[in-house]
Amino acid sequence: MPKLKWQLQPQADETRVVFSGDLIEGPNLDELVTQIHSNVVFDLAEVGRVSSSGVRQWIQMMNALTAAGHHIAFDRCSPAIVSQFNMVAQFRGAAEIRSILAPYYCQDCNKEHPRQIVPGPNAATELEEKLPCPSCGTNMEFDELVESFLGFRSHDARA
Amino acid sequence: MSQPSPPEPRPPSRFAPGTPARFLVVDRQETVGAAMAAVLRRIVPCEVELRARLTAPDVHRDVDLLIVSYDELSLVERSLLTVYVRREKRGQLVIRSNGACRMDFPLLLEQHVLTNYVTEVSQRRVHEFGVTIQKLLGSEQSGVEPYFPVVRDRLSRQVASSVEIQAVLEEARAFVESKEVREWLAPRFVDVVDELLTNALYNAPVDPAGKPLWSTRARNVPITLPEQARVDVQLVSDGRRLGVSVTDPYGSLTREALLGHLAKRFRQGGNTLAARTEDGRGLGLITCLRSLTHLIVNLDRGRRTEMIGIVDSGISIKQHRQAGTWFNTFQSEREP
Repeated sequence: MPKLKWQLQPQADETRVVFSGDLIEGPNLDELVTQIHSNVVFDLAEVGRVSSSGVRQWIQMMNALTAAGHHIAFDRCSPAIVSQFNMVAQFRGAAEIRSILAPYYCQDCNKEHPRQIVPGPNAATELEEKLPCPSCGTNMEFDELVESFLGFRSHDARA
Repeated sequence: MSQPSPPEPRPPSRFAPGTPARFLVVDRQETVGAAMAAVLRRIVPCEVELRARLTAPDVHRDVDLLIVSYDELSLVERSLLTVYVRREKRGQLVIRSNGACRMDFPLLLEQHVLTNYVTEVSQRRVHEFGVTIQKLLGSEQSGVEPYFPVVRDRLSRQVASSVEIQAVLEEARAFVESKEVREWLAPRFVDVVDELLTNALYNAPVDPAGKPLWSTRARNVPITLPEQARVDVQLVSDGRRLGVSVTDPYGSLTREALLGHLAKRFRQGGNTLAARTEDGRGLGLITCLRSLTHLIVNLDRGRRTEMIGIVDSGISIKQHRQAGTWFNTFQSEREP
Protein backbone atom coordinates (compact mmCIF):
# COMPACT_ATOMS: atom_id res chain seq x y z
CA MET A 1 0.00 0.00 0.00
CA PRO A 2 1.24 3.56 -0.66
CA LYS A 3 1.91 6.11 2.03
CA LEU A 4 -1.06 7.86 3.57
CA LYS A 5 -3.14 10.17 1.40
CA TRP A 6 -6.37 11.98 2.10
CA GLN A 7 -9.25 13.68 0.39
CA LEU A 8 -11.35 16.44 1.92
CA GLN A 9 -15.13 16.29 1.42
CA PRO A 10 -16.81 19.39 2.89
CA GLN A 11 -20.30 18.64 4.25
CA ALA A 12 -23.03 20.72 5.86
CA ASP A 13 -21.68 20.99 9.38
CA GLU A 14 -18.40 19.08 9.25
CA THR A 15 -15.57 18.11 6.94
CA ARG A 16 -15.14 14.46 6.01
CA VAL A 17 -11.54 13.40 5.45
CA VAL A 18 -11.15 10.11 3.61
CA PHE A 19 -7.77 8.49 4.22
CA SER A 20 -6.12 5.74 2.24
CA GLY A 21 -2.73 4.03 2.41
CA ASP A 22 -0.30 3.20 5.19
CA LEU A 23 0.19 5.49 8.16
CA ILE A 24 3.95 5.20 8.27
CA GLU A 25 6.85 7.61 8.52
CA GLY A 26 6.54 10.62 6.26
CA PRO A 27 2.98 11.89 5.79
CA ASN A 28 2.79 15.62 6.21
CA LEU A 29 -0.10 15.68 8.63
CA ASP A 30 0.79 19.27 9.59
CA GLU A 31 -0.50 20.21 6.16
CA LEU A 32 -3.81 18.49 6.89
CA VAL A 33 -4.18 20.43 10.14
CA THR A 34 -4.00 23.71 8.19
CA GLN A 35 -6.76 22.49 5.84
CA ILE A 36 -9.30 21.82 8.58
CA HIS A 37 -11.45 24.74 9.78
CA SER A 38 -14.47 22.95 11.22
CA ASN A 39 -15.53 19.83 13.04
CA VAL A 40 -14.13 16.82 11.27
CA VAL A 41 -14.90 13.15 10.56
CA PHE A 42 -12.03 10.87 9.63
CA ASP A 43 -13.00 7.97 7.37
CA LEU A 44 -10.34 5.36 8.17
CA ALA A 45 -11.60 2.30 6.28
CA GLU A 46 -8.74 2.28 3.80
CA VAL A 47 -5.87 2.72 6.24
CA GLY A 48 -3.61 -0.33 6.12
CA ARG A 49 -0.41 -0.57 8.08
CA VAL A 50 0.30 1.76 10.98
CA SER A 51 3.90 2.12 12.16
CA SER A 52 5.10 3.59 15.43
CA SER A 53 6.58 6.64 13.70
CA GLY A 54 3.24 7.14 11.91
CA VAL A 55 1.51 6.94 15.29
CA ARG A 56 3.71 9.70 16.73
CA GLN A 57 2.82 12.03 13.85
CA TRP A 58 -0.85 11.13 14.17
CA ILE A 59 -0.83 12.00 17.88
CA GLN A 60 0.72 15.39 17.12
CA MET A 61 -2.03 16.02 14.58
CA MET A 62 -4.73 15.00 17.06
CA ASN A 63 -3.27 17.31 19.68
CA ALA A 64 -3.21 20.22 17.20
CA LEU A 65 -6.82 19.66 16.11
CA THR A 66 -8.02 19.33 19.68
CA ALA A 67 -6.16 22.52 20.64
CA ALA A 68 -7.93 24.29 17.76
CA GLY A 69 -11.26 23.33 19.35
CA HIS A 70 -12.50 21.02 16.61
CA HIS A 71 -14.75 18.10 17.43
CA ILE A 72 -13.19 14.96 15.92
CA ALA A 73 -15.01 11.76 15.00
CA PHE A 74 -13.61 8.51 13.58
CA ASP A 75 -15.75 6.51 11.18
CA ARG A 76 -15.27 3.08 9.57
CA CYS A 77 -12.04 2.45 11.45
CA SER A 78 -10.02 -0.33 9.81
CA PRO A 79 -8.80 -3.23 11.99
CA ALA A 80 -5.30 -1.71 11.93
CA ILE A 81 -6.72 1.51 13.39
CA VAL A 82 -8.74 -0.37 16.04
CA SER A 83 -5.55 -2.15 16.99
CA GLN A 84 -3.95 1.23 17.63
CA PHE A 85 -6.85 2.25 19.89
CA ASN A 86 -5.96 -0.79 21.98
CA MET A 87 -2.24 -0.12 22.06
CA VAL A 88 -1.88 3.66 22.25
CA ALA A 89 -4.08 5.71 24.54
CA GLN A 90 -3.49 9.01 22.76
CA PHE A 91 -4.03 7.69 19.26
CA ARG A 92 -7.71 8.33 19.55
CA GLY A 93 -7.44 11.23 21.97
CA ALA A 94 -10.88 12.67 22.66
CA ALA A 95 -12.34 11.57 19.34
CA GLU A 96 -15.80 10.08 19.12
CA ILE A 97 -15.74 6.63 17.51
CA ARG A 98 -18.78 6.29 15.26
CA SER A 99 -18.05 2.92 13.74
CA ILE A 100 -15.36 0.28 13.36
CA LEU A 101 -14.73 -2.42 10.78
CA ALA A 102 -14.61 -5.87 12.35
CA PRO A 103 -12.69 -8.59 10.47
CA TYR A 104 -14.75 -11.63 9.48
CA TYR A 105 -13.26 -14.66 7.77
CA CYS A 106 -14.75 -17.01 5.20
CA GLN A 107 -13.02 -20.38 5.30
CA ASP A 108 -14.41 -21.45 1.94
CA CYS A 109 -13.17 -18.39 0.07
CA ASN A 110 -10.11 -17.93 2.31
CA LYS A 111 -10.98 -14.24 2.35
CA GLU A 112 -11.48 -11.65 5.01
CA HIS A 113 -14.51 -9.38 4.92
CA PRO A 114 -14.99 -6.33 7.12
CA ARG A 115 -18.28 -5.71 8.90
CA GLN A 116 -19.16 -2.20 10.03
CA ILE A 117 -20.41 -2.00 13.62
CA VAL A 118 -21.06 0.72 16.15
CA PRO A 119 -18.90 0.11 19.25
CA GLY A 120 -21.88 0.59 21.57
CA PRO A 121 -23.16 -1.61 24.40
CA ASN A 122 -24.39 -4.32 21.98
CA ALA A 123 -21.18 -4.57 20.00
CA ALA A 124 -19.90 -7.69 21.75
CA THR A 125 -23.17 -9.53 21.13
CA GLU A 126 -23.19 -8.45 17.49
CA LEU A 127 -19.67 -9.76 17.02
CA GLU A 128 -20.66 -13.21 18.27
CA GLU A 129 -23.16 -13.52 15.39
CA LYS A 130 -22.17 -15.41 12.29
CA LEU A 131 -22.58 -13.63 8.97
CA PRO A 132 -23.10 -14.97 5.45
CA CYS A 133 -20.09 -14.47 3.21
CA PRO A 134 -20.91 -11.84 0.55
CA SER A 135 -19.23 -14.04 -2.07
CA CYS A 136 -20.34 -17.61 -1.33
CA GLY A 137 -22.95 -17.35 1.44
CA THR A 138 -21.04 -19.60 3.87
CA ASN A 139 -21.25 -18.58 7.50
CA MET A 140 -18.32 -16.40 8.51
CA GLU A 141 -17.01 -15.89 12.03
CA PHE A 142 -15.58 -12.81 13.63
CA ASP A 143 -11.82 -13.36 13.42
CA GLU A 144 -10.57 -11.74 16.62
CA LEU A 145 -11.10 -12.15 20.32
CA VAL A 146 -14.04 -9.95 21.24
CA GLU A 147 -12.59 -8.78 24.53
CA SER A 148 -9.26 -7.95 22.94
CA PHE A 149 -10.77 -6.21 19.89
CA LEU A 150 -13.11 -4.06 21.95
CA GLY A 151 -10.52 -3.49 24.69
CA PHE A 152 -10.40 0.24 23.98
CA ARG A 153 -13.94 0.57 25.36
CA SER A 154 -12.81 -0.51 28.81
CA HIS A 155 -10.40 2.42 28.81
CA ASP A 156 -13.40 4.64 28.10
CA ALA A 157 -15.07 3.20 31.19
CA ARG A 158 -11.95 3.67 33.29
CA ALA A 159 -11.44 7.27 32.24
CA MET B 1 12.34 2.89 46.11
CA SER B 2 13.31 0.42 43.47
CA GLN B 3 15.08 -2.77 44.44
CA PRO B 4 18.49 -3.53 43.00
CA SER B 5 18.38 -5.70 39.91
CA PRO B 6 18.92 -9.40 40.47
CA PRO B 7 22.06 -10.93 39.04
CA GLU B 8 21.90 -11.99 35.42
CA PRO B 9 21.04 -15.69 35.33
CA ARG B 10 24.19 -17.55 34.41
CA PRO B 11 23.52 -20.32 31.90
CA PRO B 12 24.36 -23.58 33.60
CA SER B 13 27.09 -25.66 32.07
CA ARG B 14 24.84 -28.71 31.82
CA PHE B 15 24.48 -28.65 28.08
CA ALA B 16 27.20 -31.20 27.54
CA PRO B 17 26.90 -34.77 26.36
CA GLY B 18 26.70 -37.20 29.23
CA THR B 19 25.86 -34.62 31.83
CA PRO B 20 22.14 -34.71 32.53
CA ALA B 21 20.49 -31.41 33.21
CA ARG B 22 18.35 -31.11 36.33
CA PHE B 23 14.84 -29.79 35.86
CA LEU B 24 12.12 -29.06 38.34
CA VAL B 25 8.61 -28.84 36.89
CA VAL B 26 5.83 -27.42 39.03
CA ASP B 27 2.32 -28.02 37.81
CA ARG B 28 -0.89 -28.69 39.73
CA GLN B 29 -2.07 -30.99 36.97
CA GLU B 30 -0.06 -34.17 37.10
CA THR B 31 -0.77 -35.14 33.49
CA VAL B 32 0.33 -31.75 32.19
CA GLY B 33 3.50 -31.90 34.26
CA ALA B 34 4.21 -35.42 33.03
CA ALA B 35 3.71 -34.34 29.42
CA MET B 36 6.16 -31.49 29.97
CA ALA B 37 8.67 -33.92 31.49
CA ALA B 38 8.34 -36.19 28.44
CA VAL B 39 9.00 -33.24 26.13
CA LEU B 40 12.06 -32.20 28.15
CA ARG B 41 13.51 -35.71 28.03
CA ARG B 42 13.27 -35.67 24.25
CA ILE B 43 15.16 -32.38 24.09
CA VAL B 44 18.16 -33.06 26.27
CA PRO B 45 19.48 -35.74 28.65
CA CYS B 46 17.94 -34.72 31.93
CA GLU B 47 16.55 -35.64 35.30
CA VAL B 48 13.09 -34.20 35.76
CA GLU B 49 11.35 -33.88 39.07
CA LEU B 50 7.65 -33.13 39.10
CA ARG B 51 5.95 -31.19 41.88
CA ALA B 52 2.38 -30.05 42.36
CA ARG B 53 3.48 -27.18 44.59
CA LEU B 54 6.53 -24.97 44.90
CA THR B 55 8.00 -24.90 48.39
CA ALA B 56 10.66 -22.78 50.06
CA PRO B 57 13.29 -25.57 50.04
CA ASP B 58 12.62 -26.10 46.30
CA VAL B 59 13.84 -22.66 45.33
CA HIS B 60 17.20 -23.28 47.01
CA ARG B 61 17.81 -26.59 45.29
CA ASP B 62 20.53 -26.93 42.74
CA VAL B 63 18.50 -27.20 39.56
CA ASP B 64 19.39 -25.92 36.12
CA LEU B 65 15.89 -24.96 35.18
CA LEU B 66 12.63 -24.42 36.98
CA ILE B 67 9.46 -24.52 34.86
CA VAL B 68 6.33 -23.35 36.63
CA SER B 69 2.70 -23.20 35.58
CA TYR B 70 2.23 -19.76 36.98
CA ASP B 71 -1.53 -19.28 36.82
CA GLU B 72 -2.20 -21.92 39.47
CA LEU B 73 0.44 -20.79 41.94
CA SER B 74 -0.58 -19.33 45.28
CA LEU B 75 0.64 -15.88 46.30
CA VAL B 76 3.28 -17.47 48.53
CA GLU B 77 4.53 -19.66 45.69
CA ARG B 78 4.65 -16.64 43.37
CA SER B 79 6.76 -14.74 45.86
CA LEU B 80 9.18 -17.68 46.05
CA LEU B 81 10.06 -17.13 42.40
CA THR B 82 11.74 -13.86 43.34
CA VAL B 83 13.83 -15.78 45.87
CA TYR B 84 14.73 -18.29 43.16
CA VAL B 85 16.04 -15.69 40.69
CA ARG B 86 18.01 -13.89 43.42
CA ARG B 87 19.65 -16.90 45.01
CA GLU B 88 23.37 -17.63 44.80
CA LYS B 89 22.92 -20.88 42.88
CA ARG B 90 21.68 -19.40 39.68
CA GLY B 91 19.28 -21.43 37.59
CA GLN B 92 16.99 -20.48 34.77
CA LEU B 93 13.26 -19.97 35.07
CA VAL B 94 10.52 -20.50 32.53
CA ILE B 95 7.05 -19.25 33.31
CA ARG B 96 4.15 -21.05 31.66
CA SER B 97 0.84 -19.27 31.59
CA ASN B 98 -2.24 -18.94 29.45
CA GLY B 99 -2.10 -15.19 29.98
CA ALA B 100 -4.25 -15.06 33.09
CA CYS B 101 -1.27 -13.77 35.04
CA ARG B 102 -0.77 -10.68 32.88
CA MET B 103 -1.82 -8.50 35.81
CA ASP B 104 1.45 -9.60 37.44
CA PHE B 105 3.60 -8.95 34.37
CA PRO B 106 4.89 -5.49 35.33
CA LEU B 107 6.22 -6.66 38.69
CA LEU B 108 7.55 -9.93 37.30
CA LEU B 109 9.38 -8.05 34.57
CA GLU B 110 10.82 -5.48 36.96
CA GLN B 111 12.07 -8.22 39.26
CA HIS B 112 13.60 -10.11 36.31
CA VAL B 113 11.42 -13.08 37.20
CA LEU B 114 9.75 -12.94 33.81
CA THR B 115 12.55 -13.34 31.30
CA ASN B 116 11.23 -16.45 29.62
CA TYR B 117 7.55 -16.94 29.03
CA VAL B 118 5.70 -19.66 27.19
CA THR B 119 2.06 -20.60 26.77
CA GLU B 120 0.92 -24.09 25.87
CA VAL B 121 3.68 -26.23 24.35
CA SER B 122 1.63 -27.70 21.53
CA GLN B 123 3.01 -30.19 19.04
CA ARG B 124 3.51 -27.36 16.55
CA ARG B 125 5.77 -25.55 18.98
CA VAL B 126 7.82 -28.40 20.43
CA HIS B 127 10.83 -27.61 18.26
CA GLU B 128 10.83 -23.94 19.31
CA PHE B 129 10.55 -25.05 22.91
CA GLY B 130 13.49 -27.41 22.44
CA VAL B 131 15.71 -24.63 21.11
CA THR B 132 14.60 -22.44 24.00
CA ILE B 133 15.57 -25.07 26.57
CA GLN B 134 18.92 -25.72 24.90
CA LYS B 135 19.73 -22.02 24.89
CA LEU B 136 18.71 -21.70 28.52
CA LEU B 137 21.12 -24.50 29.33
CA GLY B 138 23.97 -22.55 27.83
CA SER B 139 23.99 -23.64 24.21
CA GLU B 140 25.14 -20.63 22.17
CA GLN B 141 22.73 -20.59 19.24
CA SER B 142 22.24 -17.36 17.39
CA GLY B 143 20.08 -16.33 14.49
CA VAL B 144 16.70 -17.49 13.36
CA GLU B 145 18.05 -20.73 11.84
CA PRO B 146 17.97 -22.90 14.98
CA TYR B 147 14.23 -22.33 15.13
CA PHE B 148 13.85 -23.36 11.48
CA PRO B 149 15.43 -26.76 10.88
CA VAL B 150 13.83 -26.73 7.43
CA VAL B 151 14.04 -23.53 5.41
CA ARG B 152 12.06 -23.37 2.19
CA ASP B 153 12.77 -19.77 1.36
CA ARG B 154 15.12 -17.14 2.62
CA LEU B 155 15.86 -13.47 2.08
CA SER B 156 18.99 -11.78 3.46
CA ARG B 157 19.76 -8.09 3.37
CA GLN B 158 22.35 -5.85 4.93
CA VAL B 159 21.21 -2.34 5.65
CA ALA B 160 23.45 0.66 6.27
CA SER B 161 21.03 3.57 5.96
CA SER B 162 17.46 4.45 6.86
CA VAL B 163 16.74 5.36 3.23
CA GLU B 164 16.91 1.62 2.48
CA ILE B 165 14.08 0.75 4.89
CA GLN B 166 11.24 1.15 2.39
CA ALA B 167 12.90 -1.08 -0.16
CA VAL B 168 13.46 -3.80 2.44
CA LEU B 169 9.83 -3.55 3.58
CA GLU B 170 8.59 -3.91 0.02
CA GLU B 171 10.74 -6.99 -0.36
CA ALA B 172 9.43 -8.32 2.95
CA ARG B 173 5.84 -7.85 1.80
CA ALA B 174 6.56 -9.61 -1.49
CA PHE B 175 8.29 -12.41 0.46
CA VAL B 176 5.22 -12.95 2.67
CA GLU B 177 2.70 -12.61 -0.13
CA SER B 178 4.52 -15.25 -2.16
CA LYS B 179 3.67 -17.77 0.59
CA GLU B 180 0.34 -19.34 1.41
CA VAL B 181 -0.50 -17.10 4.31
CA ARG B 182 -3.70 -15.70 5.69
CA GLU B 183 -4.61 -12.21 4.54
CA TRP B 184 -4.15 -10.55 7.91
CA LEU B 185 -0.57 -11.67 8.22
CA ALA B 186 1.30 -9.78 5.49
CA PRO B 187 0.80 -6.27 6.93
CA ARG B 188 1.46 -7.50 10.49
CA PHE B 189 4.69 -9.19 9.49
CA VAL B 190 5.83 -6.12 7.57
CA ASP B 191 5.02 -4.06 10.68
CA VAL B 192 7.36 -6.27 12.69
CA VAL B 193 10.19 -5.98 10.15
CA ASP B 194 9.66 -2.21 10.06
CA GLU B 195 9.76 -1.82 13.84
CA LEU B 196 12.79 -4.08 14.33
CA LEU B 197 14.75 -2.52 11.50
CA THR B 198 13.90 1.07 12.44
CA ASN B 199 14.86 0.30 16.03
CA ALA B 200 18.17 -1.26 14.97
CA LEU B 201 19.05 1.77 12.84
CA TYR B 202 17.91 4.58 15.14
CA ASN B 203 18.06 3.24 18.70
CA ALA B 204 20.90 0.72 18.72
CA PRO B 205 23.84 2.81 17.42
CA VAL B 206 26.03 4.28 20.14
CA ASP B 207 29.32 6.15 20.11
CA PRO B 208 32.49 4.59 21.63
CA ALA B 209 31.46 5.98 25.03
CA GLY B 210 28.11 4.18 24.79
CA LYS B 211 26.06 7.32 24.16
CA PRO B 212 23.13 6.84 21.75
CA LEU B 213 23.75 8.47 18.38
CA TRP B 214 20.23 9.00 17.07
CA SER B 215 17.68 7.60 19.48
CA THR B 216 15.85 10.93 19.77
CA ARG B 217 15.98 11.79 16.08
CA ALA B 218 12.69 11.85 14.17
CA ARG B 219 12.32 8.76 12.02
CA ASN B 220 11.85 10.80 8.87
CA VAL B 221 15.33 12.31 9.28
CA PRO B 222 17.68 9.97 7.41
CA ILE B 223 20.67 8.38 9.11
CA THR B 224 23.57 6.33 7.80
CA LEU B 225 25.54 3.97 10.01
CA PRO B 226 29.16 5.01 10.52
CA GLU B 227 32.08 3.20 8.90
CA GLN B 228 31.38 -0.38 7.88
CA ALA B 229 28.51 -1.01 10.30
CA ARG B 230 25.51 -2.86 8.89
CA VAL B 231 22.21 -4.15 10.25
CA ASP B 232 21.59 -7.71 9.17
CA VAL B 233 18.05 -8.72 8.19
CA GLN B 234 17.05 -12.34 7.58
CA LEU B 235 13.61 -13.56 6.55
CA VAL B 236 12.87 -17.28 6.44
CA SER B 237 9.90 -19.51 5.80
CA ASP B 238 9.40 -23.23 6.30
CA GLY B 239 5.98 -23.24 4.69
CA ARG B 240 4.21 -23.22 8.04
CA ARG B 241 5.90 -20.35 9.82
CA LEU B 242 7.62 -17.10 8.97
CA GLY B 243 10.70 -15.88 10.79
CA VAL B 244 12.64 -12.67 10.89
CA SER B 245 15.86 -11.74 12.60
CA VAL B 246 17.31 -8.25 12.76
CA THR B 247 20.80 -7.92 14.19
CA ASP B 248 22.61 -4.70 15.00
CA PRO B 249 26.38 -4.62 15.52
CA TYR B 250 26.25 -2.51 18.71
CA GLY B 251 24.77 -4.64 21.48
CA SER B 252 23.64 -1.55 23.36
CA LEU B 253 20.35 -2.99 24.60
CA THR B 254 20.48 -4.34 28.14
CA ARG B 255 18.12 -6.87 29.62
CA GLU B 256 17.28 -4.38 32.34
CA ALA B 257 16.22 -1.75 29.80
CA LEU B 258 14.23 -4.26 27.78
CA LEU B 259 12.34 -5.65 30.75
CA GLY B 260 11.83 -2.15 32.16
CA HIS B 261 10.30 -1.00 28.88
CA LEU B 262 7.95 -3.94 28.82
CA ALA B 263 6.99 -3.52 32.47
CA LYS B 264 6.01 0.08 31.82
CA ARG B 265 3.89 -0.81 28.81
CA PHE B 266 2.08 -3.59 30.66
CA ARG B 267 1.36 -1.19 33.52
CA GLN B 268 -0.24 1.17 31.05
CA GLY B 269 -2.36 -1.69 29.74
CA GLY B 270 -4.62 -1.13 32.72
CA ASN B 271 -7.73 -3.22 32.76
CA THR B 272 -7.36 -4.51 29.22
CA LEU B 273 -4.61 -6.83 30.52
CA ALA B 274 -2.53 -5.98 27.50
CA ALA B 275 0.55 -3.95 26.85
CA ARG B 276 -0.30 -0.37 25.98
CA THR B 277 1.51 2.92 25.67
CA GLU B 278 0.15 6.30 26.63
CA ASP B 279 1.98 8.30 23.99
CA GLY B 280 3.38 5.90 21.41
CA ARG B 281 6.79 5.47 23.04
CA GLY B 282 7.80 1.82 23.12
CA LEU B 283 5.09 1.01 20.61
CA GLY B 284 7.47 -0.97 18.41
CA LEU B 285 7.93 -3.62 21.06
CA ILE B 286 4.20 -3.88 21.70
CA THR B 287 3.53 -4.17 17.97
CA CYS B 288 5.98 -7.07 17.79
CA LEU B 289 4.45 -8.82 20.79
CA ARG B 290 0.96 -8.54 19.34
CA SER B 291 1.92 -9.63 15.86
CA LEU B 292 4.23 -12.54 16.63
CA THR B 293 3.83 -15.96 18.18
CA HIS B 294 7.38 -15.87 19.51
CA LEU B 295 9.72 -12.99 20.23
CA ILE B 296 13.32 -13.83 21.08
CA VAL B 297 15.96 -11.34 22.14
CA ASN B 298 19.60 -12.42 22.07
CA LEU B 299 21.68 -9.93 24.03
CA ASP B 300 25.44 -9.78 23.56
CA ARG B 301 26.55 -6.66 25.38
CA GLY B 302 28.83 -4.40 23.36
CA ARG B 303 28.78 -6.73 20.37
CA ARG B 304 25.32 -7.17 18.98
CA THR B 305 21.63 -7.41 19.70
CA GLU B 306 19.55 -9.86 17.80
CA MET B 307 15.77 -9.62 17.72
CA ILE B 308 14.03 -12.68 16.32
CA GLY B 309 10.36 -12.97 15.51
CA ILE B 310 8.36 -16.04 14.53
CA VAL B 311 4.75 -16.22 13.45
CA ASP B 312 2.56 -19.13 12.50
CA SER B 313 1.45 -18.37 8.96
CA GLY B 314 -1.58 -20.60 8.56
CA ILE B 315 -3.79 -19.56 11.44
CA SER B 316 -6.54 -17.01 11.90
CA ILE B 317 -6.13 -13.86 13.97
CA LYS B 318 -8.30 -15.43 16.64
CA GLN B 319 -6.16 -18.56 16.80
CA HIS B 320 -3.09 -16.35 16.86
CA ARG B 321 -4.40 -14.43 19.87
CA GLN B 322 -5.45 -17.62 21.64
CA ALA B 323 -2.04 -19.21 21.11
CA GLY B 324 -0.36 -16.31 22.88
CA THR B 325 3.10 -14.92 22.35
CA TRP B 326 6.17 -16.59 23.76
CA PHE B 327 8.90 -14.29 24.94
CA ASN B 328 12.52 -15.25 25.58
CA THR B 329 15.62 -13.27 26.46
CA PHE B 330 19.07 -14.79 26.31
CA GLN B 331 22.11 -13.03 27.68
CA SER B 332 25.53 -13.97 26.35
CA GLU B 333 28.08 -14.81 29.02
CA ARG B 334 30.95 -13.17 27.14
CA GLU B 335 32.46 -10.11 28.77
CA PRO B 336 31.42 -6.86 27.00
